[in-house]
Amino acid sequence: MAGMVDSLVYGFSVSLTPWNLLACLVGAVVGTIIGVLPGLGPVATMSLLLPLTLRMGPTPAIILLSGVFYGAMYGGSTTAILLNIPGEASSVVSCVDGYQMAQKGRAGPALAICAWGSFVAGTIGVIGITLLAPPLAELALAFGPPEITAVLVLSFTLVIVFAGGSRARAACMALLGFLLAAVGQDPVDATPRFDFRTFTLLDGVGFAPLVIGVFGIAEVLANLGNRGAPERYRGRITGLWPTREDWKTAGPAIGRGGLLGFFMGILPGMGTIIPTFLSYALERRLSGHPERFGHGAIEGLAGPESANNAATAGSMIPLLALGIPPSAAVAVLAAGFLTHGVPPGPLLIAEHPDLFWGVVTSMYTGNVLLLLLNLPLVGLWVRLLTIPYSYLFPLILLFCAIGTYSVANNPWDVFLMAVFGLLGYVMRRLDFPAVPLILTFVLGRLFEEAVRQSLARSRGSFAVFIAHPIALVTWALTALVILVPLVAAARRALVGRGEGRP
Amino acid sequence: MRGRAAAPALTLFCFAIFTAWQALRLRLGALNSPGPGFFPFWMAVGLALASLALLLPWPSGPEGPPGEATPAPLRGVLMVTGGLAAYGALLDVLGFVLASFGFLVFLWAAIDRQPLFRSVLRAGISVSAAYLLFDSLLRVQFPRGPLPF
Repeated sequence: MAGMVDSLVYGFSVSLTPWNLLACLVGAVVGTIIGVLPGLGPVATMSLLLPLTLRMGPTPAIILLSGVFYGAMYGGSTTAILLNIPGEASSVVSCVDGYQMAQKGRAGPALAICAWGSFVAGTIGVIGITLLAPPLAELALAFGPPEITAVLVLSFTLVIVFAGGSRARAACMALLGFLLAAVGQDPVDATPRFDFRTFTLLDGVGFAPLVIGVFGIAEVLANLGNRGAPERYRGRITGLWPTREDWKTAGPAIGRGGLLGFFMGILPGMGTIIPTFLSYALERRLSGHPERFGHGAIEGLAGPESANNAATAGSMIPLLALGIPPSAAVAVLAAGFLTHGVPPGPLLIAEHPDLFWGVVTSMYTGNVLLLLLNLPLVGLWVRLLTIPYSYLFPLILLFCAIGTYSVANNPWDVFLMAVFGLLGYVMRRLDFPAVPLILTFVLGRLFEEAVRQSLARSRGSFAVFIAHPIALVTWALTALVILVPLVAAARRALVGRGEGRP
Repeated sequence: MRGRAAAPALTLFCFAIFTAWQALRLRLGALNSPGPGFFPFWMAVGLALASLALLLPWPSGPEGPPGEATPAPLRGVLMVTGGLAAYGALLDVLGFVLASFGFLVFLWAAIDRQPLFRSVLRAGISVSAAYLLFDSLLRVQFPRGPLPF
């Protein structure tokens, strides 16, 4: 415990240096702005900023990118409450009771409870990372290629199962991601694959064109129909301090949402959206007055808002401890680590303690900054929304192009980004999830490498994959993740058939 | 719903078959000693099967976030994507300043239907600001083209 406190003190000594504090502030502010504005989500923004952080050191760069990630969660709730427009997909649930509170003249307490809930959840997240990441990283040091294979298969399975909507569509996107990752040189013996004898494809498909295209450009294309500015919020925002009754109702919801979001955020494929829906359902079930939900129940806002912030922190654990990003936004962070020559994973804490503890404690600093910024500046954030989208979308497209180009100074990447943008738009229209595509694209080569290295070491024996207890437990978990929904569906079908019988 | 899935299923199936055929031209190796073509081949086979599965009724996972309320006009989507692709193709030839200026004028004048003078003015200001920020401040190396900057 004393060692952990020492590590945190050391982390704060890193994250509170002026340069790192500035990076944290910039990240949090940019995150809030893109959370407020439609047309650019945190994934695309982080990808855009990634090449621009190349001139910074790894610590401020990752602090800045992380700030964008959790800052967007704060920003998304402001427009959800005041205008019934979720700035981010994870704020959809906040529209339900948050907007109703604003309509009843309680916009101030709604915004305040969101900010405080996010702050408390962020704190839960930081404590969780501090407690869980170091032992998990220590355990991961025992991982060889067979264990990595098992963990990656579990991750892919979770991503497909929790992607939302049709699992066949999620599986298609996951397999497409694998195939895109296969372009370029083979990870084991550098044989060129699918390069069609071009130098550009020999380097493989770039991360930035894919992510900025699928998330950034697709978002702009999807918003082309909404040209004007949303309706302005006409009410007055007063009473930014919740009443004692509000605290009494929302306090436990914040705690539950924070814990639920944190632990769900650790699971691959969960993202920040599913925890908010589950938190809302949980609060409604636990409430003595479920009829108030949908009509301005403060716990219906506090729980989900805390859950989405805690999920961002939870999702950092697999990355920092295992080197496996569980969501698209964290995949961008992983790319940030790799771009700066620091592979995320079990060796991170031992080899780069300044980066690890600096980033962890910066999340706490960032939450304080967001709390200080968000409530006093709420008017400014709302005013941002009055900028018509037609002013913004050409600039967003230009920034996307600059961000993509500046990774490798290759105009082909801009072309590729346009193609992936169109693909991302079509995927959105046809309900194909993007997260499995991105995660398998990022982890596909690692997976292939792990399988082939395992087989090479065992001279072709498949027993190597179940030789270690960690791998065995992981395979068992994978089987559970696959079987539980199938059994549940079969049970539902049987019950349905039974009910249909006269 | 199944009719809606037919077009993407067929597209993905064709892509998978093409990829599998390309992967076959690489060394596949064996199951216990995979070669460079092994993974792409079996992933492509998996994609072909999964795309066929799109046509079948399967149990769904939890619902994702709701889609867009107003679908974007197809003409606008194609024009923006085409403009972006053209921007990428012309970036080296025209340089950052001219290509970006032309791209922004196109977006504001042709897509957003703003008057030409206003589009040119906005594009001029935006490109100047972007150049100052990215080239002068952040030292991103842009292609110069015919202009000296």
